[in-house]
Amino acid sequence: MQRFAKIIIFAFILTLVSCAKTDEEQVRSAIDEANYYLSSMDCTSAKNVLDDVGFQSDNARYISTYASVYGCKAGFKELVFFTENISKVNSASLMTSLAQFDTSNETVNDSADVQNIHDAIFTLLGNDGTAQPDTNARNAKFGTKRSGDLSMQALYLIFVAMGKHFALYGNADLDPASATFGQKGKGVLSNSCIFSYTTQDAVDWINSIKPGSCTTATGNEGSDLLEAPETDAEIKTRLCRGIVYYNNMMDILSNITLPGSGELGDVGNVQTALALLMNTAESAEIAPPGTYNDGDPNGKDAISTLKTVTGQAQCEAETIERIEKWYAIFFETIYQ
Amino acid sequence: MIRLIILPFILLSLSALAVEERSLGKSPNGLLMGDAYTALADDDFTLFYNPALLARHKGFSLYPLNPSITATNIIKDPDRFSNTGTTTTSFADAAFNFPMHIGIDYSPGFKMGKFGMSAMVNYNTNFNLQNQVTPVLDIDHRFDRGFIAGYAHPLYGSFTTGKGGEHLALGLSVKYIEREAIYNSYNLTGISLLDALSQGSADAILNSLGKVNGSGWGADAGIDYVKSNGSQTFSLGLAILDIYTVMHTKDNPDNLEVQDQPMRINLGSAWKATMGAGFDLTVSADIKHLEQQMELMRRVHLGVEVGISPALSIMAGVNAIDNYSYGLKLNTGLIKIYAGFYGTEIGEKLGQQESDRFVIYFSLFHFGFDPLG
Repeated sequence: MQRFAKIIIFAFILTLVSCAKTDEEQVRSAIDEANYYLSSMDCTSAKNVLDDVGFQSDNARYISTYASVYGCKAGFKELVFFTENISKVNSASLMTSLAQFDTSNETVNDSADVQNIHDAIFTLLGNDGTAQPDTNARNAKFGTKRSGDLSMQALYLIFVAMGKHFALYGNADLDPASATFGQKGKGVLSNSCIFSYTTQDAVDWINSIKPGSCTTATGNEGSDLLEAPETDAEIKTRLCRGIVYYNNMMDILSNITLPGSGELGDVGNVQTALALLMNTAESAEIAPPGTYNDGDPNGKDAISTLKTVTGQAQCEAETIERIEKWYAIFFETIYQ
Repeated sequence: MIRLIILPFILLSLSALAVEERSLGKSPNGLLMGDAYTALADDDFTLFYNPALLARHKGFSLYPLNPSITATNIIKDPDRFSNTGTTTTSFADAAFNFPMHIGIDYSPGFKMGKFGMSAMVNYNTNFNLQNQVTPVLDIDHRFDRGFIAGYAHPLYGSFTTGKGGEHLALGLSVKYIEREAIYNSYNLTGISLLDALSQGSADAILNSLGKVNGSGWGADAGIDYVKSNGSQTFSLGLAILDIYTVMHTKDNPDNLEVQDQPMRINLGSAWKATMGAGFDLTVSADIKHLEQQMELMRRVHLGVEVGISPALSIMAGVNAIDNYSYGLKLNTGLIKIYAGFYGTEIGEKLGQQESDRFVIYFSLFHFGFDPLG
């Protein structure tokens, strides 16, 4: 029995020197546990286990899972998006098709869902080590496979965010049975344009081009949600969200190779179609005699300046005149 | 005294570890006894549990054909996939948190005196779809080939299975493993997985998913104490598996590392009462993974086997509180069959996620003899 006791004692000594998890193991464990909680949409538990190990800005899996927590809070499910919405994407009328998503159902400013989707997007895009999100920087930091997965995850969320954004502020028709389903200015609100334009170049563009329902610009045609009593800062923040969503979408589509899968529908054609429209808009600003670039100097070269802005803070640092012009010349034109 | 013995375990139960054990071979008898088998494995799986148990062997034994299959027990939750509809989403909804497993194990070997050797061909693939927001497919695929050879030496006394006695033995084994592995998580709708699935051949798909190959040598050690008066046998074993096993990864485009083979330290005990006419009762208890910090109850494995006749036994067990196992053994001499169900813990924390599986094992033409009587 003495030998028996020695074996027991030896085993207990072994437990005393047993190994705790390394930091890397703790992070992996936290990610796996969070994924488990997210399987039942237990957002709070998932966030708690991820927070316990601290934010891991160099770990693509952690970033992806953390973004999922925000997506979870917004009730977003990627497979539902895949089966219900992605087939609606139409490169020829992107904004209208995005407004047709069943998630494009916002009725108030800055809802919790909108904020959570926004946070998810910038969790995915904002950890590439640069001042503004950049797909190539993500590729360099995380490798093309992991970076590609982050970009795709962000792309789906950007589609949802843009759908919410343009359906709300563009007063989209949300009736699936309607002939004008998803179109701008056909909803239950009163606005025919996204914004009430006052900057001369923007006003000139609307009055001349008359994009869709937005046929005139007298300073009253835009969404009430983008006017006083909302503060100037709030309005700028909301307008900039639309711009950075769009620019990040284009940055992603320009710098990743989409899988050769029919699952993605028309997504593969979006970049080509919109790049063409962007060139047209940019040309309109610079072409002689400069009809759309000779107004308020604060709004000069809006398209060429803003088209590379992918960071929210960088966008908000721009003048409201440039932002107005971007919306008038580009967004009102591509969203009709 | 007992409290003092238990105290370290309680202290070490404060933090958790980790997913499924990465074993090279599992005895079906062990699996059906809650995997409480460290002190009992004097069969064809000795070298996978505790090399010191080789010291109980005398004569020559051959295990030429002993394949086993393990897979997810889908009949435990038969309604899960019965009303999934036709959409990908509804199918995926049913698949979330339902770990899928397939395993094929073939470990032919022999024992000659206190020396033993087993080949190993061990195929294990596990899928687990998680995270409804951004579906993540965990893939854990291993295909191991190699061998284990070991020797045990009684430090004192003499014991032979079926004959009784007492001994304290020390066993050592060496092993060689060639491993093909995929161990990664993929966003179900991400580029990595969609790209891989668009590849032409199965091999190209596996390569695109990050299949890596590696090989390595390793070693196990164990102690076995056993005492029998003929009608009752008590045994206690301590096994340090993969005490030094180093896997080397072959070059691959993504510089991925092949799964390592971590050390495991298991303590097991068993008591067997033989009542004659083929009727016997065995109870066993293992405390596993002494090398890791984890919840106390995750370490605990309990098993029981009731031999009804020399040809038929029934087994049952439990591990990690609520993972039950049960099954039976049919032994007709040249043919031995095990069949049953078992559960294993695969989550990060105790009780988080379980995998329910079945096991079927056939052993054909197993024989043994002792020329010295």
